[in-house]
Amino acid sequence: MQLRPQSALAIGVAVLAAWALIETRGWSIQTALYPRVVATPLLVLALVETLLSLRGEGPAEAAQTMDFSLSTSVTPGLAQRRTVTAFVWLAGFFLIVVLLGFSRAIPLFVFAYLKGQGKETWTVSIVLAALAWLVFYLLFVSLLHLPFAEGLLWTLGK
Amino acid sequence: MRAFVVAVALCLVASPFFTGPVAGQQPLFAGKTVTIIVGYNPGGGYDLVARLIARYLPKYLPGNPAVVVQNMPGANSIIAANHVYTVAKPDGLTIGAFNRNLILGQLVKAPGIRFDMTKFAWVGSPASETTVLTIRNDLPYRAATDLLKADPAVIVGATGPGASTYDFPLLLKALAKFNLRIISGYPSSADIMLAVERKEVDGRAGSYSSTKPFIDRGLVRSIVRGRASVPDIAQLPMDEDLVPDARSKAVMRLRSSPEIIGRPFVAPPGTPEEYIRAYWDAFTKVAQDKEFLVDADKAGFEINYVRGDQALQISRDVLGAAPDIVKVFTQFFSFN
Amino acid sequence: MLETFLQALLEVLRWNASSFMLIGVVVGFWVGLLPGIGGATTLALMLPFVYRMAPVQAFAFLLGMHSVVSTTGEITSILFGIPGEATTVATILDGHAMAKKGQAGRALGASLTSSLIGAIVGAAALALAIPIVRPLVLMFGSPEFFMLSIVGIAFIASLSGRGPRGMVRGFLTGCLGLLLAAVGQDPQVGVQRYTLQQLYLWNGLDLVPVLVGFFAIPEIIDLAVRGTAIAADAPLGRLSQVRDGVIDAFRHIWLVIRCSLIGTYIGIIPGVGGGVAQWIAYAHAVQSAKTPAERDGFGKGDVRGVLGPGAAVNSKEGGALIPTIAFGVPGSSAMAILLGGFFVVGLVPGPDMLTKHLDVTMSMVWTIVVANIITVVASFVFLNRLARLTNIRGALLIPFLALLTFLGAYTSNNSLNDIIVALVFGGLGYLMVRYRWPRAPLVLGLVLGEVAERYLWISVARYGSAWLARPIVVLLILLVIGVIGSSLRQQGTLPKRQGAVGAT
Repeated sequence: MQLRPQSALAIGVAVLAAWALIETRGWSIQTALYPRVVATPLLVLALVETLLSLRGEGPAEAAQTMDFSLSTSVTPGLAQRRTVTAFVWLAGFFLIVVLLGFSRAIPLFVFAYLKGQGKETWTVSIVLAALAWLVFYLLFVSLLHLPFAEGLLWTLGK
Repeated sequence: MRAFVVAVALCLVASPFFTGPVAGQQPLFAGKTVTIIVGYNPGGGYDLVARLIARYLPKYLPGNPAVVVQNMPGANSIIAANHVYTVAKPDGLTIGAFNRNLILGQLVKAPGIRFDMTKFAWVGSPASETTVLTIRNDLPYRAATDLLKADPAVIVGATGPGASTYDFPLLLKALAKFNLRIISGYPSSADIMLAVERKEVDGRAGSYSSTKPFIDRGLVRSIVRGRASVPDIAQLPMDEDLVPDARSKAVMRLRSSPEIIGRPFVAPPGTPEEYIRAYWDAFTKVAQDKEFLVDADKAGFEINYVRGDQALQISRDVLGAAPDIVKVFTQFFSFN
Repeated sequence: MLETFLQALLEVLRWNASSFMLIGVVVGFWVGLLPGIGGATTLALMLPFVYRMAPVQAFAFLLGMHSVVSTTGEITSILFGIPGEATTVATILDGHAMAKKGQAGRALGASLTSSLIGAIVGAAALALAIPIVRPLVLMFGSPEFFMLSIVGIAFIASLSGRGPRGMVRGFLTGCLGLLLAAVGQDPQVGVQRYTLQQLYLWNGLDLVPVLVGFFAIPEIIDLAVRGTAIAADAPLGRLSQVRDGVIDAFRHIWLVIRCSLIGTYIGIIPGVGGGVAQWIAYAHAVQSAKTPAERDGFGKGDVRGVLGPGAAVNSKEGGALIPTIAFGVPGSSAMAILLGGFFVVGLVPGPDMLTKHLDVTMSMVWTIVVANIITVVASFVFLNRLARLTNIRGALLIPFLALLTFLGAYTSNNSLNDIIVALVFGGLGYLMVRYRWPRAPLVLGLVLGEVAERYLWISVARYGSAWLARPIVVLLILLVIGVIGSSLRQQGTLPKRQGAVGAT
């Protein structure tokens, strides 16, 4: 028996299913039927998957899925680092959107990523950042009048 | 030379005072943009009304501003209402268009509501809604009272609690003792019509405007109406007339009250009076605009502008309902 | 009837109507291309302009715009793995995989051609089905709708993973999707379920932010990890040509036609159609693989995985027209808006549309066909150039892909919460890809969950337990058993062979 990261996902889902079932306590039958009917097999299957994954995954059991596989062209260590970095960039983008508003966040993010992560030249970074903002502004603000909040730093300052 | 410089300097400093009166005469909305925040996604009834108004409003607002519509859907427009109440600036350039039943939601203390409908600066409602109960044309019941002894029970399809498709027949069943069986859960009122056609259900309640195409087509006929009325259905019996006691009448009337303010438009609390009056004036004129009426008719809306102050009074009346009536009402009405 | 058929074509081709159609096509082209600007939203935005047009003009415009949106939505799916529309998600699986192998051009050609054929076949099937359409739709009641959603999920779940382990995971993610669909107010009584006190979740999880995050973010992460251009696996850096894809479409013409028919008939069923058709077509394409090794190739760049959804996505729009015009019941959300357009120009949907106003119906059918032909032909002009985007350094593309993803999530409800959802599902999607849990069944569970629950309750409330004995329901139950059974049988022989392969 080996605890692998794969098992963690399965256990997580099992916990979610159990929580979902517990939440249905006290609901009327009309509210609770569907979640119970769905969460029960979910719990069962998640536990089955946990057990199977703890048993290990030999080539005979390697489940191929009708889905894409992550590329293996890069060493696992480097891949891990780059993955985390990528997620951090995405989370960071979200953060500055919340703090500064879309309009300011977009050129900032594009510039920061191109210069900081992509190691592009100053010209390329600035030009593309400006281009991104321009297209965003023309299309989403000028043409479609979609609402974009100002950003927390501005509204909190009031 | 020095005097000259001083004179010029004085002129520059004093110039704002000279241009003062001229600036003050600029029309209220000149060069600005008015935003209508709709609590639903594009394509629904509330959105369509807002967009229609947005087309004609610029003509009648002083300064002819641009008017744009923004969608802020979620929680049956509670999210948009909360936003206009707490976040939007009361600068006269933002108005909200929400679900007419929000006042009822406030009455039954639905969760998540952070506004008080009576504290908004009311612009008014350009259209009213009427509710009718319709049954399939091939059924033998003619008069509303026939439904009291219908056998087997007439099956009415509904979308879910909180919608007129559900609430209207529910009150008829519980208070007027109609022999109805309500099957709820249909994704939309259009799906209910399909169910009517394949005889899975026998009828549907809902807004007259959305049911009219099916009435015209001969699929269903209307049999009972709510309080708000239009000439086409005025002769139908009203639900309140079909119950004997005053309390039931009051409960039904409570359900119907938002219908006369069928498409409420409000501005954030504290919006300056002059903007609100400008809107009242503009909305009144739009509601009389010939082209607007033609378009509204095509879209199936019943245009009947209720001015902000009257709409506010109606909202106050709803909230001022007697507690025992509210208690009975809460049993039947849940805000969804 | 043939006369009306041809007359309608002439109506459409007259300059008056076709000029509006062209404008619609141009608008629709960009709408489909850009994630975040949905076809339904734009239709609604255009509706006020429609007030002044005559019926044929109005529909030329609305339909011209709408029929094109799905076609171009496939372009971003293939090039970047970002779903341009909620209906073009299945195309990502093999389409983007092909792009990674340097075959973006081929994938684009294949998907556009199959979309075109799908539109034509769909239109033809529609025209032929008109006499029987009303009785056909009326046969499907709430019990049947419920069973159809079960069939859909069972079908996808059983096909999406190979081996008994794969099937466990397939049904696992399917159930997870179904559970996620329960978030929000329950349709029967309106009680809040799993909404964690958030107003935002009252209406449940919104599909677009989930899809955008679920599919686009893992691809972006993978691109960042690889550190290369998208088409890094292209042999000798040579990109394939669009015409290769066109040839592929004709080489597998029967598959394309079958998937078109699948799309059309699923589109006819109101409520279930929509996002499901593409997955069923995809699963059918997978089924057409003759050996397990071939089946493995799906998800990694098999052109049939692009042809299937491509055909279904367009034909389903033709199918969705049917309940809209024949019953006034919109077959999809875009159709709901189109329906608004009907009333605006004074047309009453109903049996009349198939008899008295058959000419209008026919012109709509033709508009879809002609609009698609124009789009596809126009696209071919610059598709090869578009494909070259896959040769650009990943680092240059990533910020723009992230931008598109975030905007795509945000603009569905104009709420920042949607971006959080996209990020959360992006993380989940990444983990699922990493640990080889199929994503398709989750999507289907999420899409069909609410429908399934509503119709289950309606069936029980209306018919008691008698609904189980209805003929079509019985057929569908047998179908579910059959699908799962045959999948199990097919999979049953695999571990032995895999063991042999693993040993070498």
